[in-house]
Amino acid sequence: MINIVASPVTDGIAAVLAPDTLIYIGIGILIGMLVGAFPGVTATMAVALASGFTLTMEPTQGLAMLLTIYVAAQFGDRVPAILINTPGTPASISTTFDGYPLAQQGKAGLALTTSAFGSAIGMLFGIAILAVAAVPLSAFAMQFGPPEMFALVVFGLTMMVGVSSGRIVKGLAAGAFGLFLATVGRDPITGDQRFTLGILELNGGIPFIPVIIGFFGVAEVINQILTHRKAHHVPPITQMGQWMPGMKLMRRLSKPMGIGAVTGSVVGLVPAVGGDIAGIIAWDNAKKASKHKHEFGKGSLEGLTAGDTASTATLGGSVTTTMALGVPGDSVMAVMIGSMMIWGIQPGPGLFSSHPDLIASLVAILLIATILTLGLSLLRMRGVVKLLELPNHFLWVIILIFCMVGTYSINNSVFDVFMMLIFGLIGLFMLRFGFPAGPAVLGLILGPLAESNLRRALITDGWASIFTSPIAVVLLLIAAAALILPPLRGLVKRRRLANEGKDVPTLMP
Amino acid sequence: MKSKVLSLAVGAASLLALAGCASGSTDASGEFPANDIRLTVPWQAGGSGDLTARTIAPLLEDELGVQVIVENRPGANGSVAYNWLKDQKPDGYNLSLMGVEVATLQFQNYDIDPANYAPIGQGLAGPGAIAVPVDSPYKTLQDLIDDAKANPGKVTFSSPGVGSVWDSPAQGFQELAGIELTSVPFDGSAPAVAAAAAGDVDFSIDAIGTQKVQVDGGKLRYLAMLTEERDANNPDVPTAKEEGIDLQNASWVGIMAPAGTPDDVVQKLSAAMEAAVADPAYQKVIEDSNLVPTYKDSEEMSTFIKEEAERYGPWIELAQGK
Repeated sequence: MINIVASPVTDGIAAVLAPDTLIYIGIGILIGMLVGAFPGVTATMAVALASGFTLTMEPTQGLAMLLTIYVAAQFGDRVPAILINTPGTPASISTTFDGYPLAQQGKAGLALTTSAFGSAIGMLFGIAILAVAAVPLSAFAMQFGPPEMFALVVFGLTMMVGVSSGRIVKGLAAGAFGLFLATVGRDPITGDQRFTLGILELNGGIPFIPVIIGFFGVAEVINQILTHRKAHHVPPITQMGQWMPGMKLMRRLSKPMGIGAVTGSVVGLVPAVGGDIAGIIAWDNAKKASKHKHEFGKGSLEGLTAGDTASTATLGGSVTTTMALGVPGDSVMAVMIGSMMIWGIQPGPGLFSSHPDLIASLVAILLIATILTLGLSLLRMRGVVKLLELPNHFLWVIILIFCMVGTYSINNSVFDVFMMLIFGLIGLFMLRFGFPAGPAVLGLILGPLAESNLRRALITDGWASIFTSPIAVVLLLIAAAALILPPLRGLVKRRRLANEGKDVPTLMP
Repeated sequence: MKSKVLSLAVGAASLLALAGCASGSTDASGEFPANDIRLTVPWQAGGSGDLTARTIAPLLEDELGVQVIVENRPGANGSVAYNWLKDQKPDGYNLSLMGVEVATLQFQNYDIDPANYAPIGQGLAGPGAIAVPVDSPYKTLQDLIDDAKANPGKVTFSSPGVGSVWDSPAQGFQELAGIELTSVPFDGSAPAVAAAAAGDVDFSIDAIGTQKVQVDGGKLRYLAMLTEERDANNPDVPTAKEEGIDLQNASWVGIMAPAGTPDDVVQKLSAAMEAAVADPAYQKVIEDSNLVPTYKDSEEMSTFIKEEAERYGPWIELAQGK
């Protein structure tokens, strides 16, 4: 026997490779993939419910199970986003932008596989960052107080232009509607009621998941029911087309994947911001950097992979922030902190020095989960898409039932189901009249973050707190550039085209 | 004639129905519990309140001999669940966890009246503390008070939200010390405590257990405990009372039923809860979450909730008056 020197790293990995831990990883993958594919049932909920019975397990086994559910849900939620335009969890909102158009063009197979590859690469990138730089990066996350958060969210709001897919005015109108919806509920600072109309449930604000299920899933189904008899209806998604992406395609996708991985990792580090926002930001970044901008939103594999890579890449950052700061990196991590404390693992600044083997265990769990989930995703795709061979009218009923049951199960609330139906109708209106849903969702997610962080910053030190923070100033400048540069570049280009052939002096040397 | 027959039939039917109900309820109180009990959690799954429910439920099952099913009904500061419970049949089969919000939401324009509920008991407490960033110039509570007196409104603190269990006692602190502070509300305790650890605000007022993470990690330092006696785990930290500020506060979690639940049913549930809270398995989970297992019976809880409402009412009005 070779005598392996015991070190925190080998200890941590050995703990994960124990057979019973691997079994829990396997169970976690199955739960996670099912949960992800079911619209409305989020990874947060699955982890919360599973934590009820993982409490009695050994810490490594329990962590393995909960983290695996989280990882696998990130793969599973892409499936309904691509096939039926309904994000399985909020992390796959950006998947619908290009995934569903691809499926409509008969490329569902290719969309599913590239999405799975993108998700796996994002995950691996996030894990690498966790393994190499967890401690120094957590210091960076600590810098994000209210002024920096506000600046980051403002940058996120500029994405409204990008996700408007060319219809800027309608996109901004939808975005303003989303921001308005975000103001419903209790004032985050004073606690006063705003637009609650005497409805008790609205005191908590407009519930976010019912809105996205309504906007994307229900609206699309009703639209298909209304239009399927018309002559120019969308061809049914029967053929899957090509399955595996070729080498040439993979090379072309490496750029959006890189953009997604970096965007996701940075966004993941920031507390309380997760894969949903990262996916949208990366999708927009990839669009700006792409040579095929016009394809984005109409079925671009680049857009699909950029968003999916980014939303999974946040996981490494979220785990880092949670473990090293004791501040939940996203909602799933908020749930996990409770379980970890009972296992005697207290997330916070002292964690990595008191449990040096923990980083190794975490990395090993995430790696095994990612590789197994990718394998399983690629294997079961052919079975999943059989669902779409059903006649349309059966499929519509199934989707609607799934949406309703999923929405009800979030809070055991009939109110949420009504909200989902109402926003399904609003979404239908928006779809028929050409208002994109992306900016509205972005406004609803980011509005409360922008408002509460701005007001917190103003309470502590007035506007000075924003302008004296280098991170906030840089982020605001990037946001301004993102708004001003594209139209400016368009203007210059148009001038040059107009002046072509004419003998006019130009600024260009 | 016809209408008379009809009304007679209706009358007979309703009498029968009433008799059915009556016999049903005597059955139930005779051998309560006969059916599964639903324990509603007014918060999201996964939080410490939810874990409490999922830990105590199997122990209550052992005591009562029926299934106790945990169900989350989160929303609007817990008021969705409280409002739902109010409308349930007061037979002891529908229970809910509760926090201090049961007593305080009425001061924030919520239609929640503590009189609509019959408390079963208390399960835990989370006593509070004032903590400052490790490099803060304040060495004692008096330093903080002196600075706030010299610079009214300049000293900031983070709270988990307006009207919450930790924002309100901060109002009490201002009253007792005769100072003016600025509240920076966050969305819950974790980000509020983290903001103090990062130095975004001057101090944190929250549960000792919530601040412990950052204290152990070397980012925060306890300044004063909001307890009667010094905390056994931190014997060097004085209480606020020792420093001349007679202020105590603790968050708590209990169980309640709708008002009108028969007294013997309440007593039976109370006894089961007392045994569950004393169980070592329960005590371990609660202590590992940095909270204190604490039991009060139904009657003590009724008085306690009244006292909490009297304490918090003026504090919340003070906070809103700003």
